[in-house]
Amino acid sequence: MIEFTDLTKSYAGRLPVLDSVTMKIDQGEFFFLSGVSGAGKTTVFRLLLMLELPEQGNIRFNGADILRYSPAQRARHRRGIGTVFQDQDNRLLANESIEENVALPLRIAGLSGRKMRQRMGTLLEQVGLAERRKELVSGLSGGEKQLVSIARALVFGPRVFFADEPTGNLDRSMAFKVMELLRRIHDSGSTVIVATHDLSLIRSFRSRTLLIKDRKIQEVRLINRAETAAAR
Amino acid sequence: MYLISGIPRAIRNLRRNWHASLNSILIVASSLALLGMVGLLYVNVVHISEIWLSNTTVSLFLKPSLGERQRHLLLRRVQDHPLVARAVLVSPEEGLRSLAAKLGADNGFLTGAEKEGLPYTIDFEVFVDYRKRIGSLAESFDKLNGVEEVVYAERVLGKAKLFFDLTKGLGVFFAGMILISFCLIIANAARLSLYSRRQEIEILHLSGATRGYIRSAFVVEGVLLALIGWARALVLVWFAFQLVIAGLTWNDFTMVLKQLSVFFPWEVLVGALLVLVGLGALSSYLAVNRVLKAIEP
Ligand SMILES: Nc1ncnc2c1ncn2[C@@H]1O[C@H](COP(=O)(O)OP(=O)(O)OP(=O)(O)O)[C@@H](O)[C@H]1O
Ligand SMILES: [Mg+2]
Repeated sequence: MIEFTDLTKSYAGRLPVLDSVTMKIDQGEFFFLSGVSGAGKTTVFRLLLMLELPEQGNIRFNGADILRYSPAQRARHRRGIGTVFQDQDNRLLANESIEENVALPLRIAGLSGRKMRQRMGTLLEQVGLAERRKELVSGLSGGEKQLVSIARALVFGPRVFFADEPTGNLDRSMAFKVMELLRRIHDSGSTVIVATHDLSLIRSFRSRTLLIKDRKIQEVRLINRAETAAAR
Repeated sequence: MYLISGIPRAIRNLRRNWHASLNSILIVASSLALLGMVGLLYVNVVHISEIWLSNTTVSLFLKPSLGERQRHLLLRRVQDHPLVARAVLVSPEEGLRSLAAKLGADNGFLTGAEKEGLPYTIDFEVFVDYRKRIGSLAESFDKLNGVEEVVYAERVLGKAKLFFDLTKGLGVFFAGMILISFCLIIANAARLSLYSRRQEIEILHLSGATRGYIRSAFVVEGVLLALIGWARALVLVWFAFQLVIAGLTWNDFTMVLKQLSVFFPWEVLVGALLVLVGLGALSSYLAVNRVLKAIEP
């Protein structure tokens, strides 16, 4: 479903973040993506979203070579993926309402009307922002912004879902609620990848984990304490 | 195709960024108004001076002491002159009536006191071919006995002609300068406002909006800003024009100016609108493209 082949990515004038990485994620899997700060978790997402280009190698998505996509195809590709970005402040329209932010992907896809509002209502209900839907995003706390981002990423019911530190600003109970939401998406058949360096979160969910370490990506088990310590 | 869907988005954006938009509109409107006023002055100067200089009518103001017979003798002499066509003797009442008709004013536009002092005149046209010799012709009639004053367009214009010529030259110069700086101002306003909204463009881009989708709203926004700027400038220039016109009441000369002055013909207004809308669209388009280029990998 998602395939890196011999992929190398480096930012201008720096050592590579990923060095000839090969990996594969099947449709419908739930993966954590872990690694220390600066390991390249966000970079992986940006590559998959065609927001960065690799120096070398191939990226296949549903069998398609996305590096060959035209700009219009890239845009459509991005629309098919629900994404929660790490830096919420820069990823929401601050002067728009919660509702408008959540509706943005629908608007871009040219959808509107009752069905769309229904879907938004359900989602805002799930993240607990239904009553505040008219409030401007600029007035929200970091955690609340994260919830808006999550609702926005989910609004389409995407087949593929990326979340970059989705629980970073949330307290424990809210974090679990969000993870439950992601789990539900996964249960409905979507592929979900959650980037986090919160190893205890990973442990409590016992899902498969990809670790970025020494410019490579490998699958690790992070079920018990000894395995977790090794990952650090 | 995106342009239609861009309209409601552009309107939303305008309302959301109303502060910044208002600034752009004010900049566009005030520089456009300046351009409009210089342009209007130019148009009027050209218009009025053309009316004046194409006028080949000469009037000989006769001395009030002249009797009926002497007036007719003078008329005969003028009629016999080879350059003169259609010379007629005009009584003060007739003169007043035809002047009023020419200016489109009603008959009572001069006060009674001014009517009292009006002399008999002999009015004639110079054959069009001899227009250049109107000056020397006037001089020779000036020397005739019984003629108090010879009046014709160029002489009345006198110093005004110099003013007209000067305004014409300066008008073209200034209009050119303002036009150039105007283009720069619009392009700059578009660039600045879009750079401050780079984040918004980036979010749209991340969320899977195509270039066309992103561009359309901004291009429509540029067009709307240009439209509003144009309308504001039009209102501004129109009021300034009305104000100046209302003030032109010092003397007969300015009264005549007042009657002759014109506002921009609709073709010019529509042309300005089209140019402006084109400029707004183009500069928005270029500015969005710059931002997109910076974002895309
Ligand atoms: N736009 C960029 N230009 C240059 N270097 C970059 C850029 N983005 C990331 N990097 C570098 O690439 C490396 C990987 O960054 P990345 O953001 O992918 O890490 P991360 O695993 O997401 O870290 P974190 O857990 O802190 O979010 C870092 O060393 C970072 O400095
Ligand atoms: Mg990151």
